[in-house]
Amino acid sequence: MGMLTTVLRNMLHPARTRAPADMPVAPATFRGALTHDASLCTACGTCAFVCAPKAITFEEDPGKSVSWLFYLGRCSFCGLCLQNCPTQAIGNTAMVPATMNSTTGDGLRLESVIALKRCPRCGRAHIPFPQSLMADSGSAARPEESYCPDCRQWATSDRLRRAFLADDGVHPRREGAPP
Amino acid sequence: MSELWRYLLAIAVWPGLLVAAPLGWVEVWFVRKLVARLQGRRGPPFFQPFFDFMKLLGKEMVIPVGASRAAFLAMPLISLASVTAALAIVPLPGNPIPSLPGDVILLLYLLEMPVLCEVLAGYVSGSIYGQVAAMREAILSLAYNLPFLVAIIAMAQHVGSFQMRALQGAAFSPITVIAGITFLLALPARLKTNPFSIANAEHEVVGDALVEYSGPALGFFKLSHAIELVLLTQLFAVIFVPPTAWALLTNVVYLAIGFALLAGITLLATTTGRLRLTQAFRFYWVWGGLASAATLAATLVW
Repeated sequence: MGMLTTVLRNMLHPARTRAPADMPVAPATFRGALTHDASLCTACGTCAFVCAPKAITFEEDPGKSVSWLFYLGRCSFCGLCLQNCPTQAIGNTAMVPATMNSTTGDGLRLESVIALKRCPRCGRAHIPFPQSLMADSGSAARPEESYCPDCRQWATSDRLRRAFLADDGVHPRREGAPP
Repeated sequence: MSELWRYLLAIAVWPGLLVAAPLGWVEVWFVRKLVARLQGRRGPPFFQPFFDFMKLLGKEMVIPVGASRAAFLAMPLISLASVTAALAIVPLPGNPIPSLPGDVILLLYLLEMPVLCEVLAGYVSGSIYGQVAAMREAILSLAYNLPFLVAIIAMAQHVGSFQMRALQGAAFSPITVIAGITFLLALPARLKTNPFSIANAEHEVVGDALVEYSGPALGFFKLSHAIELVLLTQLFAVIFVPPTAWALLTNVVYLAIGFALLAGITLLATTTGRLRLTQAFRFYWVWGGLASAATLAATLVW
C-alpha cells in the first residue's frame, strides 16, 4: 500500500522534472555563457593563453579583421578568461548557455569579429585601441588616437622630445624611426 | 459493396490499420504519460509515439551479420499483418466484415502470431540477449496463455458458438464476470508490463527480443505492439461487455473500457517490481490455473 500511496501522491502533485523553458533562476554569481565586446578587445591573446581546455582561439583575416572564437562545448566555465582580460572585453551572463536551455539552432559556437582599421599615418591595418582605455592613457582627443601602436609610440616620444628640446634642426630624425 | 472491398476496408481502415495505428499511438502515449505522472515526472508530449515511429522510418536499418535477411525483415511485417487482421475480425460496431463461422479460432491463432514473431525475431537476430529474451517470452507465453485462452474458450462454450458476434451478443451472466477476471489475470503478462515484464527486462537482458532491430523494422514492430494494445483492450470489451443499442455509443463505451483497463494495468506496473521467470510461471500455473478451473466449472454450472 505504501507504493500506491506514493504513486497517487505523485499523481496529485505537479511533476518534479522541469521543462526546458522552465529553468530555475541562476544565482547572480553563476558563471554561465560568455559574452564578448569586440569594441573593447585588443586581441592580445591572454584569454586564449589562460584557457586550459582551449575553448578560446583567435583567427585572423589579414588586413581585415580578427575573430575571437569561443567553443562552448570545450569550456569548463572556470572564469580565468574573465579574470585575466586586461580590457574587460569578456563578460559572462548569469544565464545557462543557450545550448542547454534551447533546442533552436547551434548555440555552441560564438564568434566575435574585431574589425581592423587603417592607421591614418602609416596606413597599416591594426586593432583600434579601445576608447575607454584611451582616456585613461591620456591620449584621448589627440591626433594619435587612431594611430597604430607603433605610430602612437612614435607620437608619444615625439611629443616628449619636443617638450624638452626645441626643434632647431640640430637633432634630426632618428634613422629607422616610423615616418 | 463486394466481399473483397469489405475485407480490404476492414483491414485497411476500420477497425484496421488507418484507425488502429493512431489509436494505438494514443494508447501508448496514455500509458507512458500515466507512468510518468505516477512517478512524478512530466511525461512525453501527445505526438511522441508518432514522432518515434516516423523517426524510426527514417533511420538506417542494420541487419546483424549471420542473420537471415529475409526472416529478419519478415518478422515485423508478419507481426503487423497479424494484429491488423486480428483486429479486422473483432466485431466492433461498424466493422464491414460479416461474422465468419469459427472466427474465434482464427482470432486466437492471429493473437499468437505477434508473440511467435517476437520469439523468432530474437532467435533470428543471433544476439545472445535477444535469444535470452525470446526464451523468456516463449516460456512466459506457455504460462499466461492458459488463463487467456480458457477465458475466451469458456465464453464460446457458454454461448455454444465459436463465432465472435455470438460472443459479443452473449447475455450478461456470472460466467462473464469470472471469465473476465481470468482474462484480466493474463493481460499484464500478455502486454509485458510489470510485474511480468520479464521478456523485456532492460536491466537484465539489455532490452527485449528485438534488441538487434533498428530503423523501419523496429518501427513496424513498435507499431504492431501499439495496435496489439488496441486489439487486446477492445477484445476484452467486445467479449465481456454487453453492447448498447447504438453503434457509436458502443464504440465510445469500448474505448473508455480500453483506457480504463490500460490505466489499471499501468497502475499495477508502476507499483510493482519485476518477478522472476519461475515466480511468474508459478503464479500463472497456480492462480491462473485455479481461475481457469473456476471459469470452466462455471460454464458447467450456468
